[in-house]
Amino acid sequence: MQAVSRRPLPGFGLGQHLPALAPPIVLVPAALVGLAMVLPLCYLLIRSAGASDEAWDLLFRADTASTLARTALLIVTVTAVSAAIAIPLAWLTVRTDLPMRRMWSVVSVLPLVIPTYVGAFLYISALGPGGLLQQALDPLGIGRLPEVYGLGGATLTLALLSYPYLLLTLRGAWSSLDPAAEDSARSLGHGPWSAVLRVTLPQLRPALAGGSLLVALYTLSDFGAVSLMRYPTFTWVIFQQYESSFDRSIAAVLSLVVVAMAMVILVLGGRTEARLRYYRNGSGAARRPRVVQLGRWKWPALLLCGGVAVLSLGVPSIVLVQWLVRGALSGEPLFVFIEAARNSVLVSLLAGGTAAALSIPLAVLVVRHPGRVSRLLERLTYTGYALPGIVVALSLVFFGAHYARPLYQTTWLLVFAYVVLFFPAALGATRAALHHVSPRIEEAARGLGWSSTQVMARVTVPLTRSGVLAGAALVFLVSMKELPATLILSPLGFETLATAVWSASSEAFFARAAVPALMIILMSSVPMAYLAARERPGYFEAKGL
Amino acid sequence: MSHPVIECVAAAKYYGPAAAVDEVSFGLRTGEVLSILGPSGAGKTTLLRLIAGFERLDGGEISVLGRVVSGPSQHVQPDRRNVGMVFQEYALFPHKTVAQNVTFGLHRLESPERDRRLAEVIQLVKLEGLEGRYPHELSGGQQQRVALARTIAPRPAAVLLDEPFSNLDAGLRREMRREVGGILRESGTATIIVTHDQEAAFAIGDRVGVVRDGRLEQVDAPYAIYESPATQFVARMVGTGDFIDGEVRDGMAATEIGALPFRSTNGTLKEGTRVVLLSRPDDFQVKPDEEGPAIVRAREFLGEATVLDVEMPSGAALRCRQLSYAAVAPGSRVSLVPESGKPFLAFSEP
Repeated sequence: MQAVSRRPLPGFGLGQHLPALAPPIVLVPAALVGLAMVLPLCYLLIRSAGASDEAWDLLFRADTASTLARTALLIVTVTAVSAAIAIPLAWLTVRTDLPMRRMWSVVSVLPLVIPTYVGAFLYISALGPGGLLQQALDPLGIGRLPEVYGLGGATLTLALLSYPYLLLTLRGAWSSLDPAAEDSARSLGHGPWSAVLRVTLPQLRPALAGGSLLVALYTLSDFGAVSLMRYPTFTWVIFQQYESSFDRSIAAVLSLVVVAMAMVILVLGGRTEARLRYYRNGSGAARRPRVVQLGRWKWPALLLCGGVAVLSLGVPSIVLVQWLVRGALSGEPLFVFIEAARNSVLVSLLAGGTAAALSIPLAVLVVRHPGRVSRLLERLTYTGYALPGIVVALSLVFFGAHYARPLYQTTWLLVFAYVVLFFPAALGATRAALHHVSPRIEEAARGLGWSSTQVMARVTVPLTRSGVLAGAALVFLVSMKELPATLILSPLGFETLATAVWSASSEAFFARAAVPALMIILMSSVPMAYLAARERPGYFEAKGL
Repeated sequence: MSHPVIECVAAAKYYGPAAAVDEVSFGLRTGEVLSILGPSGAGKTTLLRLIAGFERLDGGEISVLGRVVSGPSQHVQPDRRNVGMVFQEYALFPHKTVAQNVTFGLHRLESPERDRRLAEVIQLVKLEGLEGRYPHELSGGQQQRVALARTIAPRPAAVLLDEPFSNLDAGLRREMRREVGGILRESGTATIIVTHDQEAAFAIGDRVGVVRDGRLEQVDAPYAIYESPATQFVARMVGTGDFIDGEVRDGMAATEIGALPFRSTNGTLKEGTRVVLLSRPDDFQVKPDEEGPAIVRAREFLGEATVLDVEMPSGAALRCRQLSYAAVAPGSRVSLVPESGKPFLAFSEP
């Protein structure tokens, strides 16, 4: 009976004495950010409206339909495999006495630092023709392996590297579930399985839907893995069109199809968004859920965790080390990438800082002044989250070439693309932090004679600092890994670690790709460690990764 | 100082069609402590937030020391009102020490003067030695004292306290009630305390206002409220009370347990008017009587006194307090004799 006494909305919900009217210091920057975020999409629409007939004809050709089918199939397989990995791992690391549970909960998230194009070339050289596995099996007389290229390889790579999104969402929801609900189901005469089926899993459904949505969008927008695995989805086709055709409106029209697919995924993911927020802000950390004793099942559980870790981290690491050694022995130069590393860090830092700073007025608007305006602006900033990097990059190229010549071919346009793409991650982190600050604290400062601007600088920002920093770290991490927008928007001669890996691995110079790949992984690990140390898994699940 | 420190004139606030605060009028005098008592959801907090300037008024006017701060066409920002507020959950700045919290509102003072005021206020709330602590390193009672010190430090015209004792456990609540009352009186600040705890309202307030559904039903000295509640609602809010139906007959109220003397809240009542009499636990002597109209249903032993649940013929219950040694056993038939000649308060439809 205690179960129902739980507060419906932890944190500081709507209707609890929150003024609807935001001061201009909040409203004006928030509105500008919101408008900037939809710029790419708007321009894409304008551009496609003026596309050539040839471009529109192409849209209705048979290859477009088969690309569509391939893309949809990949999304389904990756999401399904991710769910099959993430659901048991989430349960094991949250609710059981799994040995070394804390270690597993960190290890299971680590694949996030491996970019898909790095993962793809490592899996190819592990499992492909003449790869590690074949060399190992050769003495046994097994000469032929199943084809690594194609749907299988792409699914393997993307699922193993993106399941953590789903895992984190599930874990956050699972640990903030009120164990009393399950307990009361038990006391009402339901057995352990029945309680899980009738009470726990239904409560996890929004998290499952939300996490799957992230994985699906991630798959839709992936460019690196599908290209290297030779499984042409829309992102690959669009890139080819952009590179080879003079008629750039073809790429614009194809991008519209991708946007439509993203919309379909968002609608299928459903109205889980509002409920997802519920879990993120949950104060569940304080309440330890009941721990399930695994007993003899401990061994298969460990086998599962270990197996996933070997496949998603072990195999890539071994291959990477092997290529590093081989590269070093064959005299691959190591230091040519210092320039690229500097560039990568610079643009990622700029993107992280900008996105985090811009997230403050918007988060204040959304959390402190709920209403139609703030809801609309919040929605607008989600655009980037739904748009694949390649689409945002293309529309910025068109836009820059036509209207923003001074920005065209500068790193600023690239930073802008990162901010558009990853802003929701920064917003999510800042918003979550702000949810933990009572509006009464700000009012107390107002009552003590400070203006709303002063209160923002002296109270709100210091109190949300760690959330803002987490947002910056997240955006830094994902910007480091970003490939398609970087390829398209980098100024001539501007090389980043991502483009260095790409140009080497797309021509199968894996030894040359190994050093920059390792650098990306190491540098992404720094913000990753910061985020993991915060022990607030909710932040990862922030939209837009 | 002819002006009231705070004056509300028909102050109103609507959320949609519902009135959270419904034409509330009162004045707060210099140095006075006013308790606002009412059940949760009655609009007490909204009233405080209107006075502090966190909400905009939908009707009426609020002035501080004669200056209109909320009115039909104006809204002075909270930082310009000179009204301090202590929040229910204290709202201490978690990133600042006790001293930094307390001096947060003293930013217009020169540094030596600020330090002097800090020392003064810290001494007033007995927090000496804890100036360097952070809020999370303090107990609940200490946090409350910091919140109070922070609010009174800038010497506001008035202090508003929102449910100041609801976050404390029962023992501490009693102690803090006495202490906060002392601090407020010592600082001489006019104060409004909002609470749903009748004991606290009566213990601290010079006057008590009772709110129901956003309306202020009565403002008066605590004893007057207890003794002469203006409405049945007020009677029920303050102290234990039961109601007996009756009818005016020959200057007395004829009830199912006999004719009772009464005084009316509505002036002289005509013969035959239906009335409801307020009965406090000490108003009747309970006498064992085989022929009596009422039956004792239960008794609750409280030490020297025992409270009897007496069932009247209509089935309505009456609580009566007796000295324990004389308490009647449950199941006994009894008659109820008014304790003295004191008339019962009678409510009637106007």
